[in-house]
Amino acid sequence: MRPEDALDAARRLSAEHAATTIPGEGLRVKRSTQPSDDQLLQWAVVEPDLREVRSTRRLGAPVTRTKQTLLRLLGQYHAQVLSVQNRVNVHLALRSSLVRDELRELRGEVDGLRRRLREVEGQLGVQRSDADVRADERAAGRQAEDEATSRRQQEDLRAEYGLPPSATTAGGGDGEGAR
Amino acid sequence: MSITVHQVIGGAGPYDAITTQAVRYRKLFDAWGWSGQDTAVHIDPRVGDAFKPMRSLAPAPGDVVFAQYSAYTPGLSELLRWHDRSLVLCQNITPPEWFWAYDPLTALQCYLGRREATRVMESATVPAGASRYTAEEFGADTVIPILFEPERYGAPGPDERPGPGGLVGPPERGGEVLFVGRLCPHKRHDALIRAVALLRARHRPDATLRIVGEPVNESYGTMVQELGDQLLGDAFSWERGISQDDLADRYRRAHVLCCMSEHEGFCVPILEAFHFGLPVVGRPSGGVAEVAGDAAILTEDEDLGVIAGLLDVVLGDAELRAELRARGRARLQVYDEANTAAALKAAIERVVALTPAVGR
Repeated sequence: MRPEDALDAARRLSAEHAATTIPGEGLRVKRSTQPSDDQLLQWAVVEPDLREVRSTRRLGAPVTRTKQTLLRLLGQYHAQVLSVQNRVNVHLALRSSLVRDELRELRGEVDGLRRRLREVEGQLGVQRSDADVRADERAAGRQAEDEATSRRQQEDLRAEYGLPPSATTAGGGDGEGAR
Repeated sequence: MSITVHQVIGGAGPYDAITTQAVRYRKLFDAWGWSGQDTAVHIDPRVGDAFKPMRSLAPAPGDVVFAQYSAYTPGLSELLRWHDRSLVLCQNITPPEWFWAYDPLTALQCYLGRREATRVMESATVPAGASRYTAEEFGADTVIPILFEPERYGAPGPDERPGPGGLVGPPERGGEVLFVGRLCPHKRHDALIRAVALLRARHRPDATLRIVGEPVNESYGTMVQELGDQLLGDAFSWERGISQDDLADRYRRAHVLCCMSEHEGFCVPILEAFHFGLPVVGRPSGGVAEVAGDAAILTEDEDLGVIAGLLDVVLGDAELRAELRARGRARLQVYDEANTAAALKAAIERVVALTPAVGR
């Protein structure tokens, strides 16, 4: 067979054996344009594993034991330091997520103003092309979808960390989301 | 014409491909009678004093600064802005989207590296890419391919691999699929494992997969290992930190190289496979199609069953393998060391020709 014919043969084979499948679970690499709020909050919490503290040298077992003993002796101090750092990290991650919410709200207001502008344009008889209208509709649909996904993720995360629902979801209140 | 060429790389390390290239380039410069200093931002103590810190570099006005850009290199764009003779060879930088979910620090480095690349390439007298794909992506018009040195790998071995019982070629129900490269999300080891699982389920129950490479981090390596164990069991093996001799041995033992990567600036393992007479199957991403030419069977098909089918076709057809081997060896001529050396020399001489006067 020539290399140029191999792909067609492979496609035929694939079609013939389509009924034979493999389990679907496990790692499936996904691209993301930025870390999700969920990931940011997970990374914000520093939880070092004592078992990872070891010597990589040959015959390093005594060094490993010494390091781990020292860490155990300093456990209370490290817990204190970590709690301070974690508090800062979690607050920063939450703030970033709240700022994102506020940005979305502002974008929503801008969109509202755009819509109003279009209405006024319509009243004044300014013609908009069909392509413009369709593009606006698509943008609005995408934005609504993004907002819903983000709200869902944030609420899941808040629930995981035992935080109350955000002001947006709870419909008001005096939480951080309202500030 | 004697030229002073100073090299700049981001990090110099003992097993780093860019470092190896820089060392080889210096040998070429020495052979051409050119002097200069090799520098890096981060230097692993194991490389000895072959590289000096980049901050110690003070090129004279007529000197040429030759930077290989493969990651965010603090201070490089500033150096290039005030020095008037420079060649920047971009080795491509993976888009950060592949890393945010698995290794955020690498994602950040990629993000900064790609953002900075525009400034770095614009500041260069001659910007270049390691492949046409990379050159176009980063706004360069010059291509200087990777310096591929087949002698580093030793003899290719027999055209067809010995099978069980002294058989020649892949066993009827099996065959070893190989992939060499870092375990990074964009290399899509997950898709490769699934393709080989389909190959075993549909065509060749004894087929095996061997992957060789360091993981971007332990957690990602574990995820790949778990998927391999789950879908392939004992037919899956992952090796890391192996010597050059052992790597050559893995190429000699394999029956086909399968590259499912979705982003490659160049893809050296393809040339390595050609050197060892290994057929190549995979996706035509980035520089892969350019490097492989007509010597590999590449498809954008999303159906992994097609990849499984391709692997089965290649493993089962001696005539096809022989044709791919012949084409692969022809491709190696294109990437002959002498061609790359000539392209590099021409690019540096162009830098000098474009900036005849001292000072900008």
